[in-house]
Amino acid sequence: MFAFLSSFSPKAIAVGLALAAGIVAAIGSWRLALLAFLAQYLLASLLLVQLIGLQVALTKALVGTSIFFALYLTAHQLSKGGWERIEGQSSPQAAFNSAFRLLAVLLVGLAVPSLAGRYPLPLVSPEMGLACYWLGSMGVLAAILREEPLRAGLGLLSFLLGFELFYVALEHSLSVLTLLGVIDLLIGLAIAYLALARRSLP
Amino acid sequence: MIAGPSLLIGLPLAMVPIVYLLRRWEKLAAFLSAVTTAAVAGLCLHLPLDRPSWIFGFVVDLGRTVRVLGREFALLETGRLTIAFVFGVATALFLFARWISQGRSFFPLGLLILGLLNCVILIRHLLFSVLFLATASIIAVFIVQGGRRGSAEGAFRYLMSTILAFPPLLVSIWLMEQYALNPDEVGLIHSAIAFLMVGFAIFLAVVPFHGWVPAIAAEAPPLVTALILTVMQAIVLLLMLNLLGSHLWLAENPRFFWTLRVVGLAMVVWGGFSSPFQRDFGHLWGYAALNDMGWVLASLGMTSPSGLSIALWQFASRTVAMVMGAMGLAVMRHRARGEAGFAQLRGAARRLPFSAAGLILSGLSLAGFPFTIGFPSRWAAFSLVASHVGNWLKLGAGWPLLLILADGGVAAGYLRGLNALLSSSPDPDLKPEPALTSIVILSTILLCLVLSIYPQPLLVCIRSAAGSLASPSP
Repeated sequence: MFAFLSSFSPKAIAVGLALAAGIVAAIGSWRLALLAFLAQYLLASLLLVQLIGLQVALTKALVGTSIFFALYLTAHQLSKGGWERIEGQSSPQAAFNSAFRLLAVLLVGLAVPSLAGRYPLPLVSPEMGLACYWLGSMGVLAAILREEPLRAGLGLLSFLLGFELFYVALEHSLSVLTLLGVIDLLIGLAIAYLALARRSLP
Repeated sequence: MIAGPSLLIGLPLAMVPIVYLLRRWEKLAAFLSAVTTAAVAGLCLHLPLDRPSWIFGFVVDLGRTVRVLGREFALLETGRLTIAFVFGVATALFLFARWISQGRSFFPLGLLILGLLNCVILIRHLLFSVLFLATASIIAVFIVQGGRRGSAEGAFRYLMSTILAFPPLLVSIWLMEQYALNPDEVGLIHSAIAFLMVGFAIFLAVVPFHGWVPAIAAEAPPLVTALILTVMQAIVLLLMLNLLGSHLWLAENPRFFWTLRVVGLAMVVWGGFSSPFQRDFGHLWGYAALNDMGWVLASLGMTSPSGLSIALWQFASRTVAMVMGAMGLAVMRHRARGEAGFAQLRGAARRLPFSAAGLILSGLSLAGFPFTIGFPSRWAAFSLVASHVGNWLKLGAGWPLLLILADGGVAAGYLRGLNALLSSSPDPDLKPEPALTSIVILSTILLCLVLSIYPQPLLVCIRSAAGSLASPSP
């Protein structure tokens, strides 16, 4: 299994990560965004298999899947209460908002490669460095562009994933990586909690 | 034999499930939480570090080192004073929350946060301190929201600030470790300092990363806001001071202290000039807290022997003022069905005189108004900054007026609020404040007035704390 998981090209994985991060930032549909978020974690786990080993990669995939299910259940509950109508996702303005977000993603996406080239990250390959910058930038962009905690929270988690992909190359301690995983889970729970708390806004 | 770190971390964490199960009975939960925190504070203050002691038939060695998964936990003098301070403040907050609910999760999660903060203080590895601090901050998001339905802006901004703050600190720590292995690579220091400053800037709400402070002050339960802006920021400051003490190259770097002065003064000005335009006590309190923290950072950045003592004095005064303000605001919001705007609280001082007095006096203390607890330390900080920074910034003789005007802005904001509280007739549905809370707030007011005239008892503690911390200097 390890050989199979290690056979994926890092470049292809990095492209997949970039696509998933862009979907999280730009797309209006919460279902697609959550699936893209899950894809981010699974692709990041594939990269980690090649970097530090199967055990840590599987843990990362497990953390991501747990957060995905928590947020999916939250979003599902919110959607029953007309969340998409409240957030304006079913209004005529939704198309304008999506176009604006797509434009923002493209603009930031144009800047990221030059940033990655000018300030290369130490101890990681250029493809990995670009993926980390991309995830971080798209994550911050998604958090800024969204008012609602669930969608903004996906952005923050993407930012954190980008950072952790880089940090794993610097720090291999299992206890550190475990604590980071715990932090990820707590953030996922906090996002779900805040999203549910906000739902009674008029 | 029970090792000190095991007891100091284990006791609050052990009480978490008990208090959680009893959370529906808030008075009992408050009592148990307050007893726990008072016990920890008492242990730190009264037990010696250099020899074991007998406590209720158990042998406790406070100074003993504990190793967990290869990491050391040890209590030093600095940590002892910090834990006593943190748990003392928490005791006051838990006791007051017995009368004015801050959400059922306040007590169990508060204890959990305090246990994690003890891990931050006691662990001998900076990397894990940062990770535990991040964990505690994320858990605090739940009590910031406090079970409230509606806007989650304050809690989300706080969550966002934590997520953006701790990665730069982790990178900085790695860079510092690399520099220790490669002392010839000076570029590593510059990068480490840059990341360090970004991380601490976000945690300490330095302008322009300050948005989360007014947001949580406006939305979070007041005692929770006080917990975050006093206890948690105290831990962040302690981390920064420990870094300065353990890394000589950082303590000798003039750029770091230059940055502290600049950001501190920027916070003083920004917080001060934003305050008069606020229309509710929550946001006003947040900007007043920013202004006050600016003075703490500016004093710390002065690098004189007295700078550290003045910064600690300023922070201690801030803590007392903020706890008093939190009590007053908690009662007012509770009676006014969650409202804290000037318009909604018109005439409220007639029904809630002690809460109004505590709130206004707290704000004036944060502004450094004469005859408040904040005045002596503010005067000392102002004298220190005004006498040094003018030469450094090459400004004209009148520039200290800007700082006075900034503090005046905070005072003006609170005087506007006082005008609203005293004007016209109060809402007839506004119930009078509970007698016991009035007594507690009045006692706190009297304490503040005494300490404003006679701050010597506070100064004894400050000198002890400053002596145990490494004094930063370039």
